[in-house]
Amino acid sequence: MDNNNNNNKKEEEAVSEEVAFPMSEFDGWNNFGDDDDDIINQKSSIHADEAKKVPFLGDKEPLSSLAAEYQSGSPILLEKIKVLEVQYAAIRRTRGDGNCFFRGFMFSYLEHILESQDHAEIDRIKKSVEKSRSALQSLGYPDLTFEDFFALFLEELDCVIQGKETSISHEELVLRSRDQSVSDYVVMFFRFVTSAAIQKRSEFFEPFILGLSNTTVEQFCKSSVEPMGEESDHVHITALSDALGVPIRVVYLDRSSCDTGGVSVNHHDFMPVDGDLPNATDSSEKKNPFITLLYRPGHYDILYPK
Amino acid sequence: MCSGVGLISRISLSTLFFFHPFVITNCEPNLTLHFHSPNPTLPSLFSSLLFSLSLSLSLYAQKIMTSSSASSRKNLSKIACNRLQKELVEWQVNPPSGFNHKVTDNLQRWVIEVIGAPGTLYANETYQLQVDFPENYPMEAPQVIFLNPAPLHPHIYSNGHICLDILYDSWSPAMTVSSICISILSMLSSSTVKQRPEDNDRYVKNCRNGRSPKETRWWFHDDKV
Repeated sequence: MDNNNNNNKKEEEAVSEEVAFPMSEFDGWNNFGDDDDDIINQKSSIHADEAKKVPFLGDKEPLSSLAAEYQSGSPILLEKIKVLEVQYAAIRRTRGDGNCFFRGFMFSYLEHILESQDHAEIDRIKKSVEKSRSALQSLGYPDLTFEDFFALFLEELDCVIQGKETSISHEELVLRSRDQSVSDYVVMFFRFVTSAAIQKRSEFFEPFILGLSNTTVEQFCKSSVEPMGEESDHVHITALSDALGVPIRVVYLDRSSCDTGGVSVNHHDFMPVDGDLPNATDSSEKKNPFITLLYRPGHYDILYPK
Repeated sequence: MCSGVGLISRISLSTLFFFHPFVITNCEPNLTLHFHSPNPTLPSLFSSLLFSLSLSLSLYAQKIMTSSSASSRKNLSKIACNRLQKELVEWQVNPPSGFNHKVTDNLQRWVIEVIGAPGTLYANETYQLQVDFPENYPMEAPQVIFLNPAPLHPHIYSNGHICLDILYDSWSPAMTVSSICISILSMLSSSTVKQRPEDNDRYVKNCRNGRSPKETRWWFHDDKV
């Protein structure tokens, strides 16, 4: 009833407004804070356009499709892509919605499990998942905030194990990774795991976080890790790799060139350290990363080695 | 200081409003980005009017109550339902102090009583928060507004809209209704003056077609209050 009354009142106001304000008034308002609005508008429209063009996860494409992007572009990049072609066969693009690192990691990991059927790895990561759960609990997160996300990841993990009634094919994994109601939930699971890992080792991460955002570790997690669409950098990658015990290789494709004149492509391997022994890189046996992501400033895609 | 900037091209919406009070302003998310466009042409106005009317009628048919501040009300997803039921149980076991939720059978809209904390400017005052949950809660933030009368506060507009980052850009599923309430109470408690935001009149005037605060592009540039 109250709403009805309000509406009627507003309706009258709306009518008088129609009479009272000439068009130019509206234009004046629309131009308020023009520059920033333009930037925000542009950003929003980039996101919206991107959403239409690129699914959460693209198809596997030959690496030549990467070169095609730069045909009329930087010669350094084209040289570097040639170098990449020696080692890598294909690329799978992810949507540039701020979740690309987590989504790339998600698909790459599940695809690896589906193809390798590595049961030891599944048992191992399940233990890491439970450690993350306890970490969140000890940090004071109520179970109800994260348990659905954990359940969904564990379900995905079970689904990629073959030979069961619930097993899914590679094709179905791709479809699920493109389905927002699955994909975003798994991305959010990784955000929870990452946030817990950062806060658990806050004294280790603090100097890096101060360099990035000049906030406290907790505030950083609340504003730059937990909300969907917040982009990831080395802090997130280190934390996720540590928490789940999964090595990640990131190959950097940018315009930087080395002094010696030769073109080389840099990569960095994020090797998990044992959570109980910070920085003890030798405590676990060295594993070659089975997840490789291609980093171009602001974006991660999945790379497939030959 | 807070400011709510960037509003829907109001001509078309207020015209629609005139014909039909139950306009759904959020049926197409992309509607929120726009506004340097020229005035709508007559045909486009008519087609959006028809669209809005048919949408509203179908909502009547489903007997879903909409209000001027509700965005398009799709039913909650299964995950959203489960999550809200858990939050409700948790609330009943362990309600945040200073709040009182009158439980109804409507899981999708909670009306919560807020009691100003003792020793603050709002001591002994009672206000009402209205929390509307979107279909894909908690991936998407709930819409939270104060019902009339909204407390006098530098970040709360007279139409009940609240300038608080966690309700918009900084929302995450790690938050709950309960944690939102605590943030809002803390925002009230730390206030040193009882006054409206500087741009209150302009903002409220531009919201009178009943748009959701979630369609506002908020600028957050005060972490003191």
